[in-house]
Amino acid sequence: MSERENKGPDQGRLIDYLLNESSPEERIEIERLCKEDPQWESARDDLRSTLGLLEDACSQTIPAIVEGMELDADRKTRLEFSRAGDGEAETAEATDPPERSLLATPTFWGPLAAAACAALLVWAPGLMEEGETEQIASAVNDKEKSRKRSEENEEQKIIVAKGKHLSEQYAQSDDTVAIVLPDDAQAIEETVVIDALREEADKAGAKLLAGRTAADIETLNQSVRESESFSLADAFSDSDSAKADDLALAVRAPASGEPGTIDSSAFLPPLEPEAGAAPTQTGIGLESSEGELALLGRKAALSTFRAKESSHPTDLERPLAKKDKLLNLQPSARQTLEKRDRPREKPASWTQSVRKPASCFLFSQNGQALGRVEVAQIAGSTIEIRRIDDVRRGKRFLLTSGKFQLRFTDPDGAVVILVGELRKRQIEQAEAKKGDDLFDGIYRFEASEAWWLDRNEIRQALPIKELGR
Amino acid sequence: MAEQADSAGSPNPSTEGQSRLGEWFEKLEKPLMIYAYQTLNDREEAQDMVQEAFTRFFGDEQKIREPKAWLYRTTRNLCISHLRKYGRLQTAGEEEQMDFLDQSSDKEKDNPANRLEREETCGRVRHALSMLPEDLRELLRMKFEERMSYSEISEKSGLSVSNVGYKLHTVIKSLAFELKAEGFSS
Repeated sequence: MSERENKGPDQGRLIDYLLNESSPEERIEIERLCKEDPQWESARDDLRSTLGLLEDACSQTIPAIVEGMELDADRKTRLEFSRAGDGEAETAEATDPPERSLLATPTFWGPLAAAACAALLVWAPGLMEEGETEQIASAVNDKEKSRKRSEENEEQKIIVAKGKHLSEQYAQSDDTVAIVLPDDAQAIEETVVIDALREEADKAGAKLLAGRTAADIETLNQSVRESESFSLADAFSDSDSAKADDLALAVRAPASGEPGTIDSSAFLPPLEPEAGAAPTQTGIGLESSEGELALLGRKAALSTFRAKESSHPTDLERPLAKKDKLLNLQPSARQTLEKRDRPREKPASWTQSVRKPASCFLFSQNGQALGRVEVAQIAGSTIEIRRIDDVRRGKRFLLTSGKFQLRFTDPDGAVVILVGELRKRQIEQAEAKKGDDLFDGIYRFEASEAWWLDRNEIRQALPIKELGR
Repeated sequence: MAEQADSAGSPNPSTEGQSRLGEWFEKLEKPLMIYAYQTLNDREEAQDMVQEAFTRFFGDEQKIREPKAWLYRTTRNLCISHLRKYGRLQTAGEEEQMDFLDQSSDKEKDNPANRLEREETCGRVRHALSMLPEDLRELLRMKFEERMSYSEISEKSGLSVSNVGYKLHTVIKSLAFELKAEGFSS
């Protein structure tokens, strides 16, 4: 191997080879290198793929360059923020303010806080003592305040981002940040409205909690102690241990006391109020809202179940329907499959299969399909063929001389394969009219070997001399 | 928009980093916008994708070895995800390829995934062609569309045969390198 070859694949030589710009000697040399060296082979394959793509791309319309293709000023500013490393939170807030403002709305959090507080009262009455109402209320208020503080921080971050956007932020010596509010009046207005709503929600929550007396709480405790409750675990076990868990989701036990079969109605509230069922009075006025919540939950669970149920049969049918549709759409494919499944027989007269084939295809020596051909003339073992569809986009892609294979299929499905040398048929200079191409698309194939394919796709030799008779 | 390097002071890591980021932005903002626009056919959406690609780039720049390939790949993936999300992704029609250059079997070509991938790759190549100077594009067109030999191109373009070969080699090599770096399978 020469020094040049040791350096690795020469892409320039490979490109010339692939573009048919190499001399015959160089082609042989490149082919040898690719055969011997996997690196050359891999480089050749990569370049071949790139050339194929370039050919495809060149044949299509190259998109025109549209003017003004750049990011707008706002996007550039946002990118500047992220590039400056000011923190992901600020960027996220700056790019996505509407979602944040929804979650930050006190009308969303206020009722949830009140509901959480009520749930605490219902589920943990044993822990409650006289005077704790105010403590819970103050604890909730503390949580509210803490959340409020964090929200205020978030809002500050947005304002900082907006402030930076206007280049109105100046670092102080004591590491604090002086913020000059932007001219964005809407941001300030939002803050004011949010504060007002939050204050209103705080007041309503406090009023609700403060309205309860020690007697109310005692009534609640009593009713919970008297009612026979058990956890969901009791539905599966006779153990009493779960009954002691006051915090578990309580449901009413069946009158018989036997667990029996599990029915969703045992732990889901009915869709409609049952006739004659009087609501339990606990004195805190939460039954209605609790019932509504449960009702909503049950409706949601049922609708989800129904949706799943309705989607189930469709899922089962879909693949079958698809298959039928596919087969209906492609009857020719079905025929092909049936034909393919028939075992192959030796042709009655293989020379006839060559002379009058149902189809004939050209292959390279290594089996690469080169498309359909038609037999123009047969003289002895010399067959003149014309490639069909070799003219694409007004250009004919020529084949270089060499060893090729022709595969003939007769109307009965018998297959005959001929191997031989292919070369272009040159029109004699005298025959050609002035300005005509010397190649008219007809190749001469000199068959040297013949086979037929048996039912196991194994080649069986045929006497090539018979073709000349 | 471009971040200028501090010419007076000694370069510090952050300044260098920012300068580098600015340089890539300067270099690739327009090509990426054109690429995204060619893929999505919508200027506003293209801006979103390119902005997102650069945002991710600025966050991960320490780990990125081939910024150009990375940015192209990220932009392409974002565009494809976007098209999939809104059901606008379509597979290409039949492809045609020169016999000598095509070694893939018909079965492989018929595979929708392969076809889709090939169309994506072809889109990237078309973009690369659109970014080339007109004279180079004309050389490629003569070679791949007109099927002219180097000498025929030389006669037509007035360039020497070796110059034609050199220019074509350069374009093809750089394209092959970029496609490989961007993870397009050959």
